[in-house]
Amino acid sequence: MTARSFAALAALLVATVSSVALAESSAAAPAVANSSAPLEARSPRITQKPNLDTRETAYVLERGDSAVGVSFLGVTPQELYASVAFEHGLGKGVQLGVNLAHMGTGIINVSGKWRFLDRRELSLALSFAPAYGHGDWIWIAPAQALMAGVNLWIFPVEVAASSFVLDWLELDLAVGYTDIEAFGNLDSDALVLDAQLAQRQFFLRPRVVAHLFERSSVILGATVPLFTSIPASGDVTVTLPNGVVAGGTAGGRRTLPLGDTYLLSLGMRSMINEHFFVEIQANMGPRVDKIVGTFVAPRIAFEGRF
Amino acid sequence: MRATTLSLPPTLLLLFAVTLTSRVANADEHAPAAPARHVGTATTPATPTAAAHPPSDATPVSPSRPWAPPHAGRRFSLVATATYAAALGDVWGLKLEPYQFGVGMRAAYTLPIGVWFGLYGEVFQGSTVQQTYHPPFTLIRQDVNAESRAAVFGASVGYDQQVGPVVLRYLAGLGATILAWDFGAIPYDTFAGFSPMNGSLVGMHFDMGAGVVLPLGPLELGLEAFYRMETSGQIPGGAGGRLVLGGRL
Repeated sequence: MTARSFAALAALLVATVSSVALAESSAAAPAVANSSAPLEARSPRITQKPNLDTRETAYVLERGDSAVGVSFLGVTPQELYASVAFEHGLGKGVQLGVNLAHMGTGIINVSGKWRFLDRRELSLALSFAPAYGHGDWIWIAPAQALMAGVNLWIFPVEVAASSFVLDWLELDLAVGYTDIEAFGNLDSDALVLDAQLAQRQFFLRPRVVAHLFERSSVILGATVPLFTSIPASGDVTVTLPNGVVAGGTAGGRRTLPLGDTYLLSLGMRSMINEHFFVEIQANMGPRVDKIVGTFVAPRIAFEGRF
Repeated sequence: MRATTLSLPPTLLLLFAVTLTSRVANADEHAPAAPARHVGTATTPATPTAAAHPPSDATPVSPSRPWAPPHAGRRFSLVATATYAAALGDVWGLKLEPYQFGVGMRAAYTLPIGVWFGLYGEVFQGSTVQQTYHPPFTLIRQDVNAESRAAVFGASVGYDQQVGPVVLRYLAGLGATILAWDFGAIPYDTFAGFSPMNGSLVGMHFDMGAGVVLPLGPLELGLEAFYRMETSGQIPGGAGGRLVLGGRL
């Protein structure tokens, strides 16, 4: 075999391998091929799967993706006042997380989410985010007042459905039950009761997300509790001045009407680039008033995904 | 020993060129649809379909193009602000309105990705609230004209995103609030936590807000809404709107 023939065969072999590889590379390697491009040149959209909001939706982090989220002035038990959450996608639709800020403020919070249906037209996920709150560990002043002398066990479970009914319009609906058990010495008018942090609540949480822009979305949401109960005054214990603990044996609970428990929110979420996201949300409702002191209060959040 | 020179037939060279060109072009074409974070790892989505969101599967993805920096790349801004804000809550039951109308300035530097850092200051005229004050847990009733005004200054961080002809803005700020009060001649050493009956104090605040800005060449005109938390229990928080007008370099 002459050198010329050998070279021709080698070239044919390389060309063939390249052509075969092309079929795979066109699918698997685009990100690799483009990895050296500047972030701005990749032009990702907020509606692409790795960029979707995983909070209050059925979407989860992709396998190997991690997210660090910081939020201020949250009004849910999982995001009370502030949160620094770390989440990681394990694949198969499973995502685990831990709330680090709550650990520093007396609430230990872990979370798990499993997206068990991932279709183009519908995604469904089950999530569970148990937490334990110890009032004596809390050092943030407003939260101290809220949870003075109280230990909370928080068991929220929910099923969320998310669907893109149009390319730019996402509908989410969550059905959930939250059981928060409070233990400790409570006054009958304790703020933790007023703020419904010792509740058993069955709720619906519809959301409409309009992806109006390539990198920004407008979010309109509501929490509609169908049933909420909190401990009645006879259900709590009171520490008398002489140190005697009284009460706590009646075992009653009282049901709160929807007018005392609803939560409305209007927000906006944007991608800064493919790694960073920012969100601001105005929360409105009676609970916001009890926790923050005003009927309307914003929650601002920043998220990094890697 | 003679070195062997590999001279390839022109057809093979052409095949090579076409193959490599196709590969590069193909990768470039699909890049926007698969912005995987774990580039070059086993976690890279296997197909564009898996990486792209369902709606993106059904519709063509826009061709790759750079995100335009906001404000046409003009990075320095100096704006004047005209603000109206209302106080939220009270101080031990005493209603104060230290904000109302205010004017101020903000200077900022914007990074190409739209994140900006700034310094700001605002002075509010405040107002006088006539009221009958009832200290909690007492039987006291005291008529008082509670006059108060505030000045704020601090550092802010935000994010501007160009969406068509306008810019969406997120903003947060951390700074100091100076509250001055004058309750007139009332016979108390301490009143609703304030002592003496006219004076000033300094607290810290945290601002959050959002807005829309209309760039007009080197000028910008914007409207922002904000919410202010005060860390001092003696200074009420506030919420309001702000008109922004200024220039960019």
